[in-house]
Amino acid sequence: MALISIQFILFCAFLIVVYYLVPGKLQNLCLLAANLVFLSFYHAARLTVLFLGLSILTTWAAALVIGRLNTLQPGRTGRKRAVFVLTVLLNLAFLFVFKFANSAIFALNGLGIVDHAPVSFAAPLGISFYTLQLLSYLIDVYNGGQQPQRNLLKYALFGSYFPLLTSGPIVRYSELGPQFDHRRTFQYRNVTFGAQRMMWGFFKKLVISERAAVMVNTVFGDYPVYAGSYILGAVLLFAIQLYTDFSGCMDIVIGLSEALGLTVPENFLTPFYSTSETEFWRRWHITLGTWFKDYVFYPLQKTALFGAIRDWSKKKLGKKRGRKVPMYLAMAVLWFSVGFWHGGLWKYIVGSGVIHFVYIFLGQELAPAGSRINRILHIREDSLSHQLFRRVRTLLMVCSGFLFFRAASFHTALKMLRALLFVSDPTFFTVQGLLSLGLDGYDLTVLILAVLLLIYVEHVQQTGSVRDRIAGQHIAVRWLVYIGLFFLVVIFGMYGAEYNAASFIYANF
Amino acid sequence: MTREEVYAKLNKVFQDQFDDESIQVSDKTTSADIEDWDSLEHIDLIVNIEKTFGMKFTMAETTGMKNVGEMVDIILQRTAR
Repeated sequence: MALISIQFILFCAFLIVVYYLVPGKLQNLCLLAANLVFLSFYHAARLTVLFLGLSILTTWAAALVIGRLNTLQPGRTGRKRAVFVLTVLLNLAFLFVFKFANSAIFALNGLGIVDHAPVSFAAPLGISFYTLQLLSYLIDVYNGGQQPQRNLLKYALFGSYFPLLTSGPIVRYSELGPQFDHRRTFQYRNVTFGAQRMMWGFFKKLVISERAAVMVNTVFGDYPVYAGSYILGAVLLFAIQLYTDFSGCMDIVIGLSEALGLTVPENFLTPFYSTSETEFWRRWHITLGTWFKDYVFYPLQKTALFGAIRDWSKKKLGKKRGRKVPMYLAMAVLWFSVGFWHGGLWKYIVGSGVIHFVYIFLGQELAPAGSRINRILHIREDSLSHQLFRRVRTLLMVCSGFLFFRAASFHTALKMLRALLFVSDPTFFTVQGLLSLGLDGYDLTVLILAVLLLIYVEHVQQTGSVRDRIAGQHIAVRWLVYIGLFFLVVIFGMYGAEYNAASFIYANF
Repeated sequence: MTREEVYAKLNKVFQDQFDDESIQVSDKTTSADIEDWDSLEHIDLIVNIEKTFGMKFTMAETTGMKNVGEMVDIILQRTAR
C-alpha cells in the first residue's frame, strides 16, 4: 500500500479507531494484524512475510539463547559468540542476496571475471531498514546493553511495525520495544498533532517534491544537452526534492506513530542549517548515521587490530596526530559502508559515502589553518555572514554528493560534473531558463512559494515547536491554519494518474 | 579505590586528552561540557581511561554512558573485583 493514497489514509483512520476501541490486551494484536494487512498490498507480500518472519524469529531466538548463556555460563563466551556470529551472518546474507546481488554481478562483469546479465527479482519490503533494526537488537543483547525480550508477539511488533518498513527511521529496541508493554490510551492531542504532522508530510511530498522532480528529471534525463548553471540548478533542486520526499515520508511515519501513541526517533533536524559536513550528518538521516557510528565506527576502533594501529601511529606521529589515524581509518570504513548500504553501486559508494569522508577529513585537518586565516583577515567566526558562508559551503559539498546519487551512473555523474565546472551557461537563473524545464509559470510559482513557506516554518522550528505555537493560537486562527494546509495539499498537490507520487526515493533502498 | 581517587586519575586523563589543564570533571559532566569531546575523540578517550584503570567498558557502555558519573560507577564496579 502506497503512503500517498486514499487507501492508506482510510486504512490509517480505520486503524486508529479500532486500535483505541479494542481492549488493552488486543491492542498489540491489532497492530500486528495491521502490519500484515499493510504488507498484503505489497507486490512481494509473501516473500516479505517469509523473510521478515525469518529475520524476526532468528534474531529473537538467538537473543534468548545468548541471554540464557549469559546467566548460565557467564565466563564462557565461545558458544555465545558462535550463536551471535551465525545469526548476524545469516541475516546479512538475506540482505546481500536481495539488495546487492546485482552490484556483485556488475562488479564481477566489470573485472572480466564473469559475464552475467543482471538478475531481476523482488526484494522483501524494507529489508535494508529492518535488517539493521533487528541486528542492532541482537548486538545490544550480545554486548549486555539490552535484556532479551521473551515475548515473541512484542518482539515481532518491533520488527514488523509497518510505518517503519517504508523508509525507516531505523529504531533501536530500547526506543520502541518498551512502548508495547503498556496500553496506549486515546489522547486528543496525540491524534490531532499526529494528523497535522502527516499533513505537513503530504504537503512536502505532493506540493514541493513532485514539482521539483519534474525539473530535475528533465535535466538528469537528458544531461548531455545541459551544462553550467543548469546542472547546478538541477542538483540544488534535487536537494530540495530529496529532502522534501524523504523528510516528508518521515513526517507521515512519525505523525502516524504519534497518532497511535508511539514515539519514534526523528530522522531529520533542519539539516540545511548545518555549518559543516559533520553537523549535516548529525541532522540528515540521523538514525542511519548513528547506527553505523554505534555498530561499525566505535566497535572497529576498539578491536585489537585498531588498538595496535593506534599504538604504532602514536609512536610514529606523536600522541596528538597519531591517535587520529585509527579514527580516520574507522571513519573511512563507516562512510564506505553507508554508501554501500544505499545499493552497492559506485555512484552510491562515492556520492553517499566516500566523498563525505573526504570532506569531513579535510574539514577536520584544515580547521586550524582556516581559523588562522580568519584571524589574519579579521573575520569574526560567529558573525552572521560567516555562518551563512559556512552554510552555503556545506550545502554545495552535500550537493556534490547528491549529483552522484541522482545520476544514472558514476560515469554520468563525472560527465555532468565536468559540464557543470567547465562549460559556461548561466541562463538557468533567468525566467526563460527556469521555464524551459517542464514546469509552467503557475507550477513554478507554486514551487517557489511552497519552498519559501517551508523555509519559514523551518526557521520558526529553530526556536521551538511550530505545532505547539499554532495550538496556542485563538481557535479561529488555529483551524484556519489546519484547513488551509489541507486545502493547500488538495489544491496544489501533484497527484493522480499521471504522477508517480506513490513512490518515495528511499523506499527503493 | 574511592570515588575521589577515581576522579583524581580521571581528571588527569581528560586534561591530557583535551590538552587543557583546567578541566575538572564531575558526576554531571557530559560531552556537551567539553568542547572537543565529540564522537571522533570519544573512543580514544575511552581507550585511555581503560588503560589508566586496567579495565574494559562493554560496547553498550561505551556508547550508552550518559555522563561522567555513570562512567565512574562502572570504573568503581570493575576495579573492585
